[in-house]
Amino acid sequence: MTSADVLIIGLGGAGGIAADVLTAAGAEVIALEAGPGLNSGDSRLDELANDVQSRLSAPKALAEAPVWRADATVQAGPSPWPILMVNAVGGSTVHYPGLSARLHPWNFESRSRTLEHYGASAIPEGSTIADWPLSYEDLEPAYAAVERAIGVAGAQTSAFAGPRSSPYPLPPLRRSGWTELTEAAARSLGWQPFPAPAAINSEPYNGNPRCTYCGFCSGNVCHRDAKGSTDVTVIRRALASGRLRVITGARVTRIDTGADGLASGATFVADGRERSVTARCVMLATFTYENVRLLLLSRSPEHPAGLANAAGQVGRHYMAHVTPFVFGLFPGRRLALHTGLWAQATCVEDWNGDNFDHGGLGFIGGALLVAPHELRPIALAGAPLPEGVPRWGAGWKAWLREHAQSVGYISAQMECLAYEDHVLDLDPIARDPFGIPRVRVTHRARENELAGSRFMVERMAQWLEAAGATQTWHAPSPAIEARHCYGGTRMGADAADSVVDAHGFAHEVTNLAILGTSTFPTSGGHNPTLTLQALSWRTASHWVASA
Amino acid sequence: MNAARRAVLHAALDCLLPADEAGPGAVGLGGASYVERALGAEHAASLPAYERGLDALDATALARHGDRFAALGAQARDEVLSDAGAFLELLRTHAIEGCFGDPRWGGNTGGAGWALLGYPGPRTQWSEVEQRLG
Repeated sequence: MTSADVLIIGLGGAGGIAADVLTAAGAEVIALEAGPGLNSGDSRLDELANDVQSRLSAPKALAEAPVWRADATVQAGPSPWPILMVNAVGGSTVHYPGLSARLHPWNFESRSRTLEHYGASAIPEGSTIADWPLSYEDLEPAYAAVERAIGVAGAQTSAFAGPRSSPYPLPPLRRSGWTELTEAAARSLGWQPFPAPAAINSEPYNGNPRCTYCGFCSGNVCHRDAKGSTDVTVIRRALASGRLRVITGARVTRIDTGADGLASGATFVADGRERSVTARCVMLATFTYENVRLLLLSRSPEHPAGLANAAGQVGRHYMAHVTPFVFGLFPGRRLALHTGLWAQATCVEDWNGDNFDHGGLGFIGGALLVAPHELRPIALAGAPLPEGVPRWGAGWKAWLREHAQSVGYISAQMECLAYEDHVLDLDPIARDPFGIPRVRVTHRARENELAGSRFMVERMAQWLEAAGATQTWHAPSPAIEARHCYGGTRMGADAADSVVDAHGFAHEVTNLAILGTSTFPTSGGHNPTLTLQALSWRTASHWVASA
Repeated sequence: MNAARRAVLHAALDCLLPADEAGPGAVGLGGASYVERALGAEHAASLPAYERGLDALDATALARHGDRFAALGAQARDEVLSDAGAFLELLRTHAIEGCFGDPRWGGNTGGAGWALLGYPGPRTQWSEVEQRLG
């Protein structure tokens, strides 16, 4: 039997932050990580390996990917959307593009402020949108601490952003022709463009070198430790403390509890052997889907409906970003978007949150608009085509040859509300290779999100046209970004309609913390990672202060 | 893959991206060699769809034009292929992978697919000058 002060299940973007805070405070920590340790030698500048074969998600994450259904009347099938989770030390921060924008103050109280500004009729029927049990000001110190810990490059954003206690620790990423073109265009529209805040080393930081703008940031391990993934930043520091023990290849099968109902540790399988770890505190820090699955699988006499699920709230309030893209043609120009990074981008948040009047628009919420790089050849050739261009044949080939280097694009991360019937549960049929039920997602894009996406498509087209695009186009319907997924273990003040409290500890299992976007009451319209890391920092700090 | 199916595969890929005066078609770009290799490896799950899809192209060609798909003229091939539905989309997806993916996976012969797109190929760094607009 192995024991520690704190057991972290999943040493990724969230667990890595917690490990750093806990070990810095003197706690002995064991982390169970399903995947291996990777390093810069595992980098591949290879779109087929990274983006088509999803090598970093194989085999565990792909084998247990949730099944999907639009509503409860149909049987779930394979997810129509990529669900890419990386099982490795560092988790999905190993392959994320690193865009690290904070949520806005509005995001923490979007329900009450919507009611105040637009009345109850503005909240879509069936939506379970809720205020967070903490404010932007409560989370601000943790945001600042995480930005310093992983190294976020950025500059003053927009007038819409919440106040900052300290500047970004790194200057923004290098400007490019594309970021300058899109910045000037946004300004010409009266918008407030800013360089994307990114967990990427614009300069050497904490012993790691600067980024070389290789164009293979997302879907890949950084080839030189220049990305602020937790494996090369906070986890490295936690390991250096001597107080973090990492067990890789450890597939956790249940969170164990004692007769007092509290969490006592976890059971896992490694090298084909079942083992267990005990701890005073357990921090569940896997991906949204696996957080929910492990709670539901950890039934016991004290917790017959699964752990932390007495109120039936585990799996509820699931959300996923809706992500429309708009493409634009800049004839005769060479945009060189195969260079650089996704997070080497110009951002606009004039259309995020409640930064604009929603009266009469038919939706609430908004999106961060991002004009990025990193358009690789398979993605470029497989992208939607403008009207009139054939999808195959001589006309397609001629269009590709003439225009492939002249296609620019912008993406939006449209907030998705929670709804009563958008849930995660265990599928009655689908199982992973070990015979364990897979998660079933019940979700579809609703009118609020579709109306918001249509609005964002118009804004993105307007932006591209202001930058000189002679033609713009987009896919017929927006994609669901199942990697930006939220909810399932909602944070709230009331144990009747949430799973964890404002510090991330389960209402009914007070020594069990849950880390990750599964605790978010709303999705917001920004990338999720920085906020989940700030919450992890806050949860770990709270344990340190109370222990 | 037997010779009959291989003939249909090659003909169909060259319908998607035909050879022209400026360069090779999908087969010359390595699309066929990529697909044949991948169907025995990472795309093995698609093999039954290929067998059905390729056989259906031949059957439709015989029924409509009295000859096998690969023996048809360009216009007749296009017409038969345009009715192939989901198989056309699968083939297009794999043709894009094979023509524009890294050559180490058996396609994109000599980087010719990348040249078609004006893509110089992967590099570990791009300079500020290379990131300027042309």
